[in-house]
Amino acid sequence: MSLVVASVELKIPDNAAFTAFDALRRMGVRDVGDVKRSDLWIIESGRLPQEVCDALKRTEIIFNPNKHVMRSLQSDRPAPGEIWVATPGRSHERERRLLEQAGLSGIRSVESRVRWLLLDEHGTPCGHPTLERARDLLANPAYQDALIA
Amino acid sequence: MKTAIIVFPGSNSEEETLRAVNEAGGAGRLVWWFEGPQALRGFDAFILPGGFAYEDRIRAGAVAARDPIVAAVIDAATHGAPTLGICNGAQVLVETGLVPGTGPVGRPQAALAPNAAGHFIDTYAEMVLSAPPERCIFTRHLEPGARVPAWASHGEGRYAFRDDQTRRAVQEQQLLVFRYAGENFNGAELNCAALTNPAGNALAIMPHPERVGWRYQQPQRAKLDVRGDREAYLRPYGGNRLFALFAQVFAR
Repeated sequence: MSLVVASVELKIPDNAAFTAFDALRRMGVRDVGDVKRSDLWIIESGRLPQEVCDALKRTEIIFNPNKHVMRSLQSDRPAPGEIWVATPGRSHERERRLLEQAGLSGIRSVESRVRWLLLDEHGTPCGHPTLERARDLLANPAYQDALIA
Repeated sequence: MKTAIIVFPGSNSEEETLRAVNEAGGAGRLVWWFEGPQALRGFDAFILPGGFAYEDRIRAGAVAARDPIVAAVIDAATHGAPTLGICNGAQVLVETGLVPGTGPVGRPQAALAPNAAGHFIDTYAEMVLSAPPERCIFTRHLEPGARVPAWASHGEGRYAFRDDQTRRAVQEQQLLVFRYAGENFNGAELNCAALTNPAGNALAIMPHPERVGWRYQQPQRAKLDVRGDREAYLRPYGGNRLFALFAQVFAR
């Protein structure tokens, strides 16, 4: 069994990330200099990680080469400066079925997160106090979980 | 009573809402978000209309809830100004924490989460008054258990509460003003369609009463009642009843 954490990020301007940055600045979170966002797909399967990544790119279901870049993360936990937002109970059956139909067999589970990376003016990951201030903007605790490094 | 209908980038129901307010005898005016908080001076009541403010970026209502003009609305609401959020406006009010208001303003105690079905739903939906009419300023002229028609049109309309404490407070303080009359089509907790705040001057209502405000917008059976009667066909009816009641509030 292998676990792949694929990060799918826009290579065109990300309006949602910019809006989050703007909202944080308006909220008085002044030490944020940039916000980056990507969708994370956490896939457990009986295939080799590289096979899974190749298949995700080839099938173009969660990845569009015209507007996305995809890379595999080493950890299934947030790195410094990151907030991962999960929506418990969200079904990914549709994605799982589509990936299987497209030839990626042996999938055990599919989950997703939204990964937010907050950087300061120098490009350094923001610290925990800043992430805590951003938490309620990026995740509503009534139905979402925010994981912070 | 002058009513400001706040328009955000992405709002799409402001004209219908303005029409419903004015038809019901209110004095509404559209105020654009970029006019800033100072543009709200002189207004006594506020409506946040439906749509997709800021394209629902991050999640529905999250960014608009942090807009300076909304801060001014919340400030006025905490001082008693009648404040109504419809659909996306409800999402904004919930994101501010004003509604249900069981915790500090600024910290959401509830959410309008994605529909349980996982997709956008567009359907006629009657609401049933589920709190004593006097509990909320907007419903105090309704009869107990009144049914009000509305049109649900949302992808993120499933009321969800932060924790058991909030859920209990909503029930004990009778903040759940309207439930859906029929099936729980979006999976909302307690079949909730609209919540008020503890002071009862703010209402976050998920379906659109302004979209069924005239007879011709009703389901077929209601239209058949006035077949051949052109005037009755164009007369306010249904959801506009709610706006007529709002107008009574605004006219006080």
